[in-house]
Amino acid sequence: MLRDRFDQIMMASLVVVLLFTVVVLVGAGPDESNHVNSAISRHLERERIYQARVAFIDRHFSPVIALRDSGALPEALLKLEELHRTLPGEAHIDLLSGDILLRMGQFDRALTKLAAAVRRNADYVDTASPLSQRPLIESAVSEGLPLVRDRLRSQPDSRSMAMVVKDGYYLQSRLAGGCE
Amino acid sequence: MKYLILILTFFLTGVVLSGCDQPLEGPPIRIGYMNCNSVEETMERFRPLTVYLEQQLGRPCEAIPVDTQDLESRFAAGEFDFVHGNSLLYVILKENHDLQLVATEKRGQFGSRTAGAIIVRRDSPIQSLKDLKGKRMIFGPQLAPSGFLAQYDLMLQAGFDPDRELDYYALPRGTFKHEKVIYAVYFGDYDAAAAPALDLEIMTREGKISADDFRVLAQSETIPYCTFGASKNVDSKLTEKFRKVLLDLTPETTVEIDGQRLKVLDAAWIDGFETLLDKDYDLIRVMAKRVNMPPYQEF
Repeated sequence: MLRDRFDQIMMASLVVVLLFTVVVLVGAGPDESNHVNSAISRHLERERIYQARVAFIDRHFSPVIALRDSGALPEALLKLEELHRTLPGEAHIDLLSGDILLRMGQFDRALTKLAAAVRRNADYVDTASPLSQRPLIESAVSEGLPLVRDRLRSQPDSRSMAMVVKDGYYLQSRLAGGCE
Repeated sequence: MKYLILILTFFLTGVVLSGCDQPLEGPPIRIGYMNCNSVEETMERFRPLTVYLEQQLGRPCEAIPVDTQDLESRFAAGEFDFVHGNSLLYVILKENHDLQLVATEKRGQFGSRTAGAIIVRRDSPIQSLKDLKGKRMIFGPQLAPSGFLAQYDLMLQAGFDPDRELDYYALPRGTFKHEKVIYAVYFGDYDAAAAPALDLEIMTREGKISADDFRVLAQSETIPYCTFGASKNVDSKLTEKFRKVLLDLTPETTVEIDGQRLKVLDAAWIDGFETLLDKDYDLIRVMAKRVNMPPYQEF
C-alpha cells in the first residue's frame, strides 16, 4: 500500500491534518465564557456606536436645534439645506426637517420626511435607543394622519396624498412595533 | 392554414408598428409657459416636457414662452390651450377667464406650496417688521405671489403700510429677479428684501448663499406653487389626459431630443406634480383682496 517514501509522506501529512481538524473542531465547541464575552463586547460596541452617533448629531446639528428652539423655523430649514450639501442622505436631516415642518403646520410634508428618516434609521422609533424620537413621531401621526386621511377622502384621486397617507400608516406600524 | 398565416401576418405587423413612434395627429396643442427669467431659459426648461407631452398625447405640442405681464391678454385672445404660470396668475385667469385647474408643480421643502419671506442681513439692527420704518426695501416682480404679494400682505397684517412707512422700495429689472433681491440685501444696497422661501432654499442648497447670511423677519403661510391650467375651450378628455401625463411623470422619465436623452422633470426644475383643489388657492385670493391686486384691484 505504501509503496515508496512519497506515499509515506503523503499518508503522514493526511494523518496530521485530520488530527489538527479534530482538535480545532473540539476546541470550537460551545464555551459559556466565550459566549458571555462576545455578548459583552457586542453590547460595548453598540454603546460606542450610539455615543459616536450622539456626538455626531450634536456636532453637526446643534445650530439647527438652537434655531428651531428659538422659533427661527425658516432659518433652521435653510441650515438643514446647507447641511444637505455636506451630509447627503443623512437620516437626521430628514428627521429635523420633519420636526420643523410639523411645527410649521405642514403635516403632509412632515409625515413624508419622518417616514424617510425612520426608513433610514429605525433607532428613531426604538424606545430603548438614546436616539429615540417616539414622542415627535407619535405627535406627527396623531395630529397629521387624520388630516391627510380627510384630505384623501375629499380628493380620492390624489396620488400624492395617497403616498402621504401610506407614509403615515408606515410610521404608525413602526411605532406599534411592526417591522420594515 | 390560410387563416393562421393571415392572423400571424396581422399580429407581426402590429408588433412591428407598436415599436415605432406614435404618429402625431390633429391641430397643435399650444402651451403658454410663463417666463421666469428669459425666453431661452424657458424654452430650455420646458422643451423636454413639451416633447414628452406630444409623444404621450399623440398630438403636436407647441411651447410658447410668454412674459408674465402679457399672459392674461394673450390667454384672453385665445393664444393658448394650456398655460403654466404662478398661482396668482392662475387665480387671475380663473376669475376672469374660467381657467380649469390641471396640476400644481412640486419643488423644494414645501412640495406643491411655497411661502414668501422678508429677509435682512444677519448683522442688521432690524429685528421686527416695525423696525422697517424709514428703511429701504426691495421686492420681487409685482405679479409674484411669493416675491411680492405674500410679503406685502404680511406687512399689512402686521399694521405696517409699505407705501407710507418704508423710505423707499424698488422692484428689480431684467432676469433673475428673485436672486437679485437676495443679493441686493447681501451686498447692502437695501435693508430688507422680499424673497421667495424656495429661492432662499435653492440658493442655499447650491452654495450661492449661506444660511448664516440672513435672518428671516417674517414668513407667510404657504400658498400653492406654479400651476398648469387649461382653457375652458379645451375638450375635457384632453385636459384629463394632459393631467394624467403630468401626474405620471417620475424623476426617471426621459425623452430624446437632438440625440440626447434628457430627464423631463430635472430639465424643467420640477420635483413632480400634484392635484390641488381650487379652494387651496383661496389664501391667494384673500391676500390679493387685502393688497388690492388683480383680479380684485379697485381704483
